[in-house]
Amino acid sequence: MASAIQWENDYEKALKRAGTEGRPVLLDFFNPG
Amino acid sequence: MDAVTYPDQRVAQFIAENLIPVRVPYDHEQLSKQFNVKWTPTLITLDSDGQEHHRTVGFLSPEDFIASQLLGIGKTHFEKGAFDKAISTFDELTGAYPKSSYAAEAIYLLGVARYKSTHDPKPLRGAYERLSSDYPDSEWAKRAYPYRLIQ
Repeated sequence: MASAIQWENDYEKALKRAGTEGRPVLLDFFNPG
Repeated sequence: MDAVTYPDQRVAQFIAENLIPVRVPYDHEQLSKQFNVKWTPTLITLDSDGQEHHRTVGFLSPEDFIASQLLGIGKTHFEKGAFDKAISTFDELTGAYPKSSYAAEAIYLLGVARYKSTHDPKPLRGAYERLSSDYPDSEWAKRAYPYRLIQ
């Protein structure tokens, strides 16, 4: 089943968004298989 | 996580409203070394400076995932000194997910955040009483044990 989560794949971009949007980052290290 | 937790609509909505989600492969050369990642899934809560505040390793059910992320968000506020936001987040966790494995830590930190916010030590004793009553076998009840002496 597909996830509706809109994942970023750029760590630096996620940090920048966290600063401007006032939310923490969830960093998920995953196994792409 | 991809088979059960991430497809859950509650999880997707929670992330959309509360977090900036980013995924990187576990063998990412720079980030895996920077965060000392050895197993998947490893989930880390960071502030906008890249400072780590919370980490879990291994599968989480949708309910435990949300409870864990609430703890991570609360700890981020707490460790940055935003005690009112931390209190609100820990309250949400303990109210909505009292049976989760993260509730006891949230109660402990709720007592500390209230103390830090007001300089009144009574919330520390309150945390001890709540933990000893509802989570007597948790490590957090043991950590709060000295607070029983607070008048």
